[in-house]
Amino acid sequence: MIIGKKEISNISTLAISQLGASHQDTGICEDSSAVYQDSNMAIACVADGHGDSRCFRANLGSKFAVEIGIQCVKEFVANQPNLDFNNEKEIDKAFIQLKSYILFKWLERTKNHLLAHPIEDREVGLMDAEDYEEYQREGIFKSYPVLYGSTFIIACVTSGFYFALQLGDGDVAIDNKKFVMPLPEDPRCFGPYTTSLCNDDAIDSFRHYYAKGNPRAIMVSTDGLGKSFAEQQRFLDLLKVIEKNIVETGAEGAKPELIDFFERLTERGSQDDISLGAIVKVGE
Amino acid sequence: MGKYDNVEGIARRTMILFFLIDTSNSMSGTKIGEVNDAIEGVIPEIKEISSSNADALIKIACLTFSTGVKWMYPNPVDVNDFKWSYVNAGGMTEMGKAFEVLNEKLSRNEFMAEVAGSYAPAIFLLSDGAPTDEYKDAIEKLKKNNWFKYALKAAVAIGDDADKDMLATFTGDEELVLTAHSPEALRKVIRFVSVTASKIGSKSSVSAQTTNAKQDDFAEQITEFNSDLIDSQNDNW
Amino acid sequence: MIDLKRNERIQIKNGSKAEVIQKIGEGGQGAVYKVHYAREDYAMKLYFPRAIKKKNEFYSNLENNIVNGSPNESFLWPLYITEMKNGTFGYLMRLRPAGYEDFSKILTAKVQMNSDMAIINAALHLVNAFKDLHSKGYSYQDLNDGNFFINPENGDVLICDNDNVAPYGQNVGVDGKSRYIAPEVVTGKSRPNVHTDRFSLAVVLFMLFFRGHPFEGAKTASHCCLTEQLEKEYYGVHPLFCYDPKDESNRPVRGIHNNVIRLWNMYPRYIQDAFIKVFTAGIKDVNERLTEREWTNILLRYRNSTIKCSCGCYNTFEDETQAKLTCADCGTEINRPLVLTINKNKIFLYPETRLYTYQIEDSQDLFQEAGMVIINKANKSLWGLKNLSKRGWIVEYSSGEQKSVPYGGVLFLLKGTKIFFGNEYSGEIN
Repeated sequence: MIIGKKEISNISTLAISQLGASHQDTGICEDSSAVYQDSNMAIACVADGHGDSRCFRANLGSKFAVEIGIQCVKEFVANQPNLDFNNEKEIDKAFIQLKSYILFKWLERTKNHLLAHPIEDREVGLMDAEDYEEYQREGIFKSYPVLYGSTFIIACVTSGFYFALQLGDGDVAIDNKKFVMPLPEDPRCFGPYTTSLCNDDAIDSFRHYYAKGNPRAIMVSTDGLGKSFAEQQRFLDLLKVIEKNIVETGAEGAKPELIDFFERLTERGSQDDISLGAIVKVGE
Repeated sequence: MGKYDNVEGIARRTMILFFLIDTSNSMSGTKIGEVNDAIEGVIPEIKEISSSNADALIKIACLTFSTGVKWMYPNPVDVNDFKWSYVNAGGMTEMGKAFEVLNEKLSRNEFMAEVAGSYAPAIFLLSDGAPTDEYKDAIEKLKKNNWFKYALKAAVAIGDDADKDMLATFTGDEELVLTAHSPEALRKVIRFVSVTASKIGSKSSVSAQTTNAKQDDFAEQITEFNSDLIDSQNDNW
Repeated sequence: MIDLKRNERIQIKNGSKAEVIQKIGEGGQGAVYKVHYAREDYAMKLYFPRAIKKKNEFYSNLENNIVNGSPNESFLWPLYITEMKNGTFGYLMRLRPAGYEDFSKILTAKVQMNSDMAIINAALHLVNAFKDLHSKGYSYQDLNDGNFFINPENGDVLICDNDNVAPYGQNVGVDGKSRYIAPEVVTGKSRPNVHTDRFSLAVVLFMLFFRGHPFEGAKTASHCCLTEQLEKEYYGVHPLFCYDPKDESNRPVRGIHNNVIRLWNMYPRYIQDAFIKVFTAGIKDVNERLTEREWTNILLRYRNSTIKCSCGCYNTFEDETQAKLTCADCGTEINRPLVLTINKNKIFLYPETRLYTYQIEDSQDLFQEAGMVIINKANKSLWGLKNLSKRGWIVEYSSGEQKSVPYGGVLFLLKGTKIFFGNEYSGEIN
């Protein structure tokens, strides 16, 4: 099946990033989110820059991740040759290639950014001594991606086929009748820890899910949202409410109240930045 | 009348501070008295951290062990509601049993369930003597528990006859075994470790395959403290 | 194509009927069933009617292979052929024994090789299998990650899909998987043969050691989709080795090709050089591709200089001049142990090191153990070499003292010791 050649319609997309209560002092939101839509596909993407002190440019890392993610997935859908759905190996191979490509582009972008914006005095103290030595000698250092470390989640809907990729913590929820979370769990995303685009084995932590059909909604979110709820079902209940609101008023209409809610939620809940990317079917 | 007014189940991220306290016979007298006093005294400080730390809510779980083990409360308690219940000393030192019970509770189905996206717990072992039961298997099991692996751990050896090597197998690092030679030192140590663990434990982190930045941070601060720790000249134990 | 049902019977040529028990698998060319024939259970591969282009040629070739027999115990070789019926046919072979895993599972780390020694032995088995295949005049033509299995415990190898094996110069119409097949086949300049086999063998060895593909790096990662055209370009028309010394543009990328990056530097220079040769000069010049004999010598050298640290991790000395190494797992420093030189073999003598039959007598057996280094129970710093071979040895210590060492006997490992294994095989320890 050749994906992305048929039109899709009646889809509404929304992306929100809300500054976490714990970041009010710095005012820097480390999350990023974005959506893209055209007649053949809808894409939602979120990324969460790490709060670790070594990741002092993480807000940029997440911004790049989202921009590159959307660009790469657009290309993927546009250029993907015939996908044989009976050949799991082939589909997995295609996704591994896409993941490699996203990583490659992100690594390139962050490297170019570092070369164009050298380490500032105030940043030196936050680096590993060894890394800084290497940086002074070579102008770059092997672990440079750590400065921009971020998680990454992206979902894409095309006519009759949809998929999601995830690296790190955060959630992907898909509504076919009710919301479920089909991506495999990553045992290394545990407690406050998460895998990252900046890991030297990043490709191994990149999970994916794909299926035929047209879901009612797909929502991707950073962990600030999911971790505001003690029980997973309550989190999924919230997503249902959000979906309903988007269906009723459209994405633009639903935004203001949702932003307001997230502002209160981060305070009462995770304290963390909250991002949501949503792709919702709004009509028949 | 907001669309999201009826959303239920919102919870703050939580960090649990575990105290495992040896209440065996050798702890009786001034030692247990000092432990009671020191922990009761450190609670208000932890309360302060919890309220000033936007990142997390801190809960306390306390297990005492002598002949048999006992949780002070059936579930971890919000530090703001926590009341220290004075403990007495007497009996053997069933540390192995304590480790087994700890392993059971460090699970999503037990103490770690009600906490939304829990932070790594901090586990604090206070003991003055060697275990009287089989503990090696229990420690091996504990070491395979993910929550334990990521937890911030520290041990306080109370008095000179404490088996520091054994305590180091618990913490995984001999630098995380502190010795308290006097009541004042004990108070200082309990306060320092609890406060440091609370501060570090409740901030988010990138997982690294080889280094555990948070635990390294913790170990660094503890080591610094240890070297600054001034023991009183009299060994009052 | 309709699946065969249980109890359905298939006529074996010049024999009786095989009875179907159940279907056990399916591939691009056909399906595999468990069958009962002549009082034993076998696996039967039955081709899809449209899968084979030149049916009669393929059928005769298969018959020939059956008659000539398997070149080596690593091949799951066709044993009986079925009659041609309904436009198709098949053959019977041994069932795959337990303990073997798909190579692709090992590549994706779903299954781990038990140890580095298992990896070396797997490599030796593979090379050996090809040596025997080629010496019988055959070529395999279609080696890829789907048609062989490895026992992760000991490195034993089982090669399947031997229906594509054909004599040199002949070809039964197989094209091969582009990531494994030689560039000249991808570009259509040649059909599969012994030289292309050697290329595929090198690719498989690279993947076994470094868990990545030799032509994948920054260049292949810079594309969103690897279309057929791009695949042809990167694996056929302009393949660029990821560690090509003259061109860095396809180096493995941190974060993506982490296995290759980590593992490449853990192997000695002569192994790296072997791969560099095949994947640079050997792309255009088939004579620059290592022969099985050349690979065997390199792998045996590697095995001879690999020792097992007490923590369980295998480490390799580059050569005798390396004074010490640091264990890759536990960090212990290990000094260069005594080395036993027997003709071209330099065997590093460390506890658990093995001596092999081919080193001490005229034998092609690379896996049969003939001796082992053991630790003296009373004095742990004293090591000995235990004779596990069929012959007695004579040992001459540097003092001049001579002793006989029968099967089960142990000689002390001391500098200057000479060992006489018989039939002009002797060695010296230094």
